[in-house]
This record gives sequence, C-alpha cells and structure tokens, in this order.
Amino acid sequence: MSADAPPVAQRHWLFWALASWVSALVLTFAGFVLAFHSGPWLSSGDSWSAKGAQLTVRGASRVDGDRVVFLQPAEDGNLVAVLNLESPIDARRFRFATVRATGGFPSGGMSFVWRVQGDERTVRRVELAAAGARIPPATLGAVDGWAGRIVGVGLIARGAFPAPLAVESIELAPSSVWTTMGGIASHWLEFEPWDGGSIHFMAGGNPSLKHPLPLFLGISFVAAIGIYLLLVVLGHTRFQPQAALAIALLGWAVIDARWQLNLWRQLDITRYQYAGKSWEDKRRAAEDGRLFEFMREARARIADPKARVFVFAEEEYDRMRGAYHLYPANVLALKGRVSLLPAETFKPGDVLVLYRKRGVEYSPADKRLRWDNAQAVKADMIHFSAGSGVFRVLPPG
Amino acid sequence: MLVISVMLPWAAGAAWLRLVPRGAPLPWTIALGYGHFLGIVVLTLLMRAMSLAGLPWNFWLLAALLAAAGAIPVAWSRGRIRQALAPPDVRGEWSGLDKGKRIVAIVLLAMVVVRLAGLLLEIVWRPLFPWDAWMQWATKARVWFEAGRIVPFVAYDAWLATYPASAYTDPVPNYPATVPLLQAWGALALGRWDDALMNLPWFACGAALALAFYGQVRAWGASAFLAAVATYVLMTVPFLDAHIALAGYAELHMAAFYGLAAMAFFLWVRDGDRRQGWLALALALSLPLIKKPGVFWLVSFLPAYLVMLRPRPALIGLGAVSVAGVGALFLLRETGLRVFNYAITGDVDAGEVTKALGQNLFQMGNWNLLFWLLPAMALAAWRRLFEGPIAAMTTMVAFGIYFLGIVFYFSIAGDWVSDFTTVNRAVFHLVPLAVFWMVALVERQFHGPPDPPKLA
Repeated sequence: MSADAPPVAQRHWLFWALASWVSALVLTFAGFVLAFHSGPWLSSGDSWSAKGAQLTVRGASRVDGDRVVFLQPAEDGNLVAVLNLESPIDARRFRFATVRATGGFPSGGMSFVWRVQGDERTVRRVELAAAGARIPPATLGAVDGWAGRIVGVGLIARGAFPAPLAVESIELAPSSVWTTMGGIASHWLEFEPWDGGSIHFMAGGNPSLKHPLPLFLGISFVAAIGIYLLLVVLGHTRFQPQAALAIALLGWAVIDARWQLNLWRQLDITRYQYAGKSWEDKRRAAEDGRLFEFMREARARIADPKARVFVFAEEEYDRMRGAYHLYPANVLALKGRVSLLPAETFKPGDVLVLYRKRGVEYSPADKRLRWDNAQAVKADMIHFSAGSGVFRVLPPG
Repeated sequence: MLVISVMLPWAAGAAWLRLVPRGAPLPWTIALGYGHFLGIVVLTLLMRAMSLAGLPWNFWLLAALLAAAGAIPVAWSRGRIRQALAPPDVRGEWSGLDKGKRIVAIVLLAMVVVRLAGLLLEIVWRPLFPWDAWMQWATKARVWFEAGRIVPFVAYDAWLATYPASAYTDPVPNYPATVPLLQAWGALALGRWDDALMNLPWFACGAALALAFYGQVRAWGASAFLAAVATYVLMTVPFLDAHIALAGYAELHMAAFYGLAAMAFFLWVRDGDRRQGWLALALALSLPLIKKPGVFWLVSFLPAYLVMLRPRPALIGLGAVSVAGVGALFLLRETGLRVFNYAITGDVDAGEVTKALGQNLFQMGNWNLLFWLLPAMALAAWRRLFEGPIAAMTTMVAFGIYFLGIVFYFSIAGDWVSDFTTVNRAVFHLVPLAVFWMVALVERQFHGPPDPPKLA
C-alpha cells in the first residue's frame, strides 16, 4: 500500500461493500414501510372475524360446520356471499382483509366487497389473488373506498369453480407498522407455482405487485452504489470495482435464493403429481386429465385417420387443448371462435367433437344435430360422455 | 435411447470444433457448448432432407448419418486426435485466482449445476405444459412423428377448402420446423410419443448455453472468476430457467443461438479468429430456422459489422437511418402495413406499454436484477461504449432495443406487451448477448486498454 493512502482504506473492500449494501437495505426497507404503511403505527385494537357459515350465499353452496363451501355460481355467472353487520365497524381500525379458504379459485377471479353506511347501494371491492393454495391478505385503503362505517362485508366470485371452494372465515386485521413489515416480507416469500402465465412472466412473489422484491433490491442496489461512492468521495476508502460487483451480486443472490427455494418447492409438487407415472398416467394426473381421457376415447371411436375432425367447446382452453390431445388425427380447432361453423362446412365423414358445448341439440330419432336455431346436419353420435359428444356427419337425406 | 438422441448430435458437433480442419482445437467449453447447437442444426437439416427426398425417418439411419458427420473431422484430423482429446487444464484455468475468489466461483458454478439438475427433473416429470407449446409447436411434432416425415400444415381457410383433407392445420402452420423436429427426434428415439421426455433438448440447450457462454467469456479475456460470476448470472435469470423447465417454446433456442452467434462474431471481429467467424455464420444463418423474428436478429449483424468497418460514418449513418425510420413509422402507422404478423398501428397506448415494460423489467421476478445492472453498467462505462470491438456489441444491443421499441410502440404487439404475454419473450432473445456485453464492459472499464479490432 502506498504511503499516502488514507489509513481507513486498510479495511477490506468487502467491508465497505457490505456496509454500503446493508445500509442501503435498511434505508430502502424504511422507505418501503413509509410508502406502503397507512393508518396508526401501532395496533389500535383487536382483529375482527366472521365464520364462513355466517355468509348468505347467492349461488350453489353448502354449509360444512363453520365453513361454507362454494359449488357453482348463480345463473349470471357470479356467486355472491354477504354478511350484513348489525353493529357497523370503523374502517380506520382495519387495514388488511384475509379470506381463509381452500379449494378451487374461481376462473374469473374473486373480490372482497363491502358497503359503507350512508351509501349502502354502492358495493366497493378489492381483488383477491390466488397464490398457490391460499389467498394472500388484501390491503384495504381509502383509495378503494375503505372508509367510514362498514355495514356489510362479503365475497363475489366470478366464473366456474374448478373444484369446490371452502371458505373458513373472513378476517379484518388492524393496521400497525409490524403488520405492514410482516406483509411486505410475506409478499416476498410467497410461493409462486407454475401456471399458464409462467411462460410469459413471473411476479417473483405475491402477484399483486404491491411490494416487489426486485424493486426493493434494485433500489437498494442503486442506493448502495450511491453510499459507496459517497464513502469514496468523503475519503473513507478508494474506489474498487470489486466492491461494486459485490454489491450487485449480493442483491442478485438474495433474489436467486428465493427463486431457488420456489423452484424446489415447485419441484416437490411436480414430483408428487407426476413422478414414476407413465406418459398417459401423467396426462390423467394433469389439470386437464378429464379432457385428455375424453379425447382419447373420442380418438378411438373416430378410427378413420383421414377423417377431418372439428373440435368445438365453450372454453378456448378446452377447444385448443382438446385438439392437441386428438392429434395425429386431422384436427381443426378455431382460436377465438366459440360457435360452430355453418352446416355447409361439414361433409359426410367429417367428425364433430363437442366438448362442454352449449346450444347444440341432438335428436337420436332422426339423427339430426342442430345449433344456432337454423343450422343442422345429419350425424351419427359415435361417443357420448358427461355431456360431451362425438358425431360423424352422414350424407344428407 | 433418449440419452443417445441428445448426445449424438452434440458429440458430432463438438467433434468438428475440437478437430477443426486446419486449425487448433477450440477450448472444451466452447466446443461442447457450440457443438450442441451445430449438432441440432445438422440433425434437423437431415430430417428435412429425408422428408424432401421422400424417405421415412428412421432413428438408426439418422443416428448413423450423425455419427458419420461426427466421424468426418476425426478421419480428417490424422494424428491430432490425442491433442483434441486432451483433457482441459482445469488447474491452470483456476491457478491465477486467490483462494477466496476460487471458493466463490466454485460455489456459483455449483449453484448453476444444482439449478440445471432441478430443471432437468422438472422436464422429465412434467408433461408438455405451456400454452403455445401444445397449441402450435408440438402439434406438428406429433403429426410428423406418427407420419415419419414432415407433412404439410396449412392455414384454416386452405384446410377447410380441401375435402378430403390433404394437409393438417394448427394456429400457426408456417412457423419454422426446427423446434417440432427436435421433439419428433426425441419421440423417434423413444419409439413412442411422450410429451414430457421428448423435451430433453431444452435441458441440453440450457447446459450447452452455460458451457459456451463460460467459454466465450474466457475467450474474451475475462478471468475464470468473472466468467463464473457471469455464467451464474446468466443461468439464474428466472425467465431463462422457466423456459428450460416449461419446455416447448422456441424462445430458449432463439436466445441461445442469437447470443452465441453474436459472441462468436465479436471474437472474430476482435481477434480475426476464423473458427469463431464460421461459428458466428453458422448460428446466425440458423436464426430464421428457429423463429420468424430470427430474420431481424440476423439483420442486426449488419450494422454491427458496418460499425467495425467504418466506425464514425457508420454510427452517423445508422443514427440518421434510425431517426428516419421512426419518422417513417409515424407516417405509416395509419396504413395498416404488415411486416410478418405485425401490423403497424397508431393505436398503441404508449403509456400502458411503458408501464408494462417498467413492471416486467424492473419490478417483477422475470429478470432478477438484470435490467437494473445493465443501465448501471452502461452508465459506468459510457465513455467506452463505442471503443474498439465493444462498439459492435453496443450497436447490436442498440439495434435490439430499437427493434423491440418499434415492435412494442408501433405495432399490434403493443397489446401483447400490455397484457404481459409477449414482452418478456421478445426481450429474452437479447439476454445472453446483453449479459456478454455487460461482462465486456466490466472487463474494459476495469482492466486493460482497448483491443484494436482485427477483421478477418
């Protein structure tokens, strides 16, 4: 070391890198808490909760002990479950709503809803997210209309339930700095399983993006570099590129550790679901096992490898995925088109696979398949199972 | 058999790179890494050729052809086999590092191995999962495997117009054949359809990318420590890991081919190493075989090359063309002009696109801290962005940003950014190149004077 070097520079560069990074973490976390916390800093009372069985439900449901089990939405496609409060509660006392539930999250999503005294006709809501097997707490804020005196709370579920959803309770938790800090940390640690969106994007924790870990560590990285440069300017140390590299790598490693744990947890689920199974059994164990089974049966009945096969279903997933299961048959499934094609499209020998398709009637007596009121073809039903059928088009007459 | 199906094209490719005709063998990491990509290009070309010739695929015939392709350099090499098979000098590779750095580097590389092992299990256990994989890629693989050759896929309208059907259809019948051919090859090896195991090439792609990337970073002149750090960074990018685990999309291969072609190109530009030049050419020409946007990535080599030939005039000219291009887009955006599947439009909500980009690049878990570190590094080394051969990299990265910017802000793809379905997959193609660029900037900023470009 040269004689004119500042004496404190004898500390290892890693010390300064760590010191800068840890300081930046603390400062940034404090900033996060300030940004995301609202209401009193210390808890102002107890939690409030209601059992699932106390909810009044519009839609198919059943009560199971203290729980209510949601089965099917009402005709309008929504399931509404509400609880009118005899004694209104003060919105300011509570900051978080937790719905404790297990089972299938509705296909169109679910909201926590409430009504406010003086404006009972307006239903206000915040969206609930499904994260793995649970629903993370929703943050309530005045911006969403969580203010005044609350006279009713409840849930609105949209779309079908892939499996019954058992709601144990709705809980309201008070605001405090510890709850905010715990909420931030729990968002970071939340397990994110593979789903249909994973090939496109990953939240990296709680999908609500309220307190993203990469944002926290990204800001911490910038702040740490700033602190380190300040230390250099103030003469406490000399600039060493390794220190900047270490700061970057530390933040990277934290996110990566979370990601690795997430991957291991996912791997455990994947192993449980698929390991040791044959290809067909894996398919049956997958989320679309019923669809796969139906399409296998359909393919066996179609027999003619040269037949043109049309797949129709209400849901695009069923339509396109069903077609995939039918290959190497010569399949057509139309993206973005729910309705059947005009009758003149179909020729004798063509096969129509109708999977959970509404608005189609089949008359076995005269072998007529009808849809859209005016459309019809003569067809043989060659397979039928659980409301879905396979039809071979016959010559007219 | 499945393992053979992966290893055989890989070994054939690596043989060519360790026994380069009239040249010294490439380092093991580069030979093994790039060997995989050369091997699968040759394999899929052979499968195409057999189909074209009307010959049904046969696993053993294809395997024999691959083995013969790998045997050519062996026969050619005469007496250089021993040199080519000499084990890598691992001790020498790491001898310059102090103990602390050596431990960190080993830990980081071990973490890459652990990561890849986990991803391999995910591939082996999970049947084909992501949407487009089963809707538009594996559809062809299934039909071609059962038919034993490539059979045509046509658009819906053409399919409906033909009775009885003479072709197959799916939502994107004109996509390049490489990805489904890889899956069909796996199924051929197995002798049956298995849409989990047939995806093993995605693991091989990840492992080969890691090897090749490490090798090229070392070839660029970075220390073994920095190469280990950079390889760890690249291979732990969550989005890359997801595209290995949830195999079946073409993005992983696209990113690997493009990134590795670019790295070889930079090394050829800097060192005049013809072996690297040929690698760059082979991989770059393969880009359109993987996905249609590969044509655009292929074009990106042109401005980079121009900048190397005549730096100042090229930069001024490219800057002017870029500005004029954006100006022309403002004029053309109401015309509905289509380039490939992308229609130019003036209806893109720029605010929404910018917000979605911000969320996906900086807030979400897709890229770890990559998009925080890239601008930070560019800022730290801004004086050196256009120095020597780094100018080619900067130009290529700038081209990528410019191209993606146009696609996102001036085409219907803007909607797919806002709904998060395309944004990360499009950006992914640039990621291996961007990480290499970052490494080169680190190396240049903190070590040594710039190297003059030596065009071959």
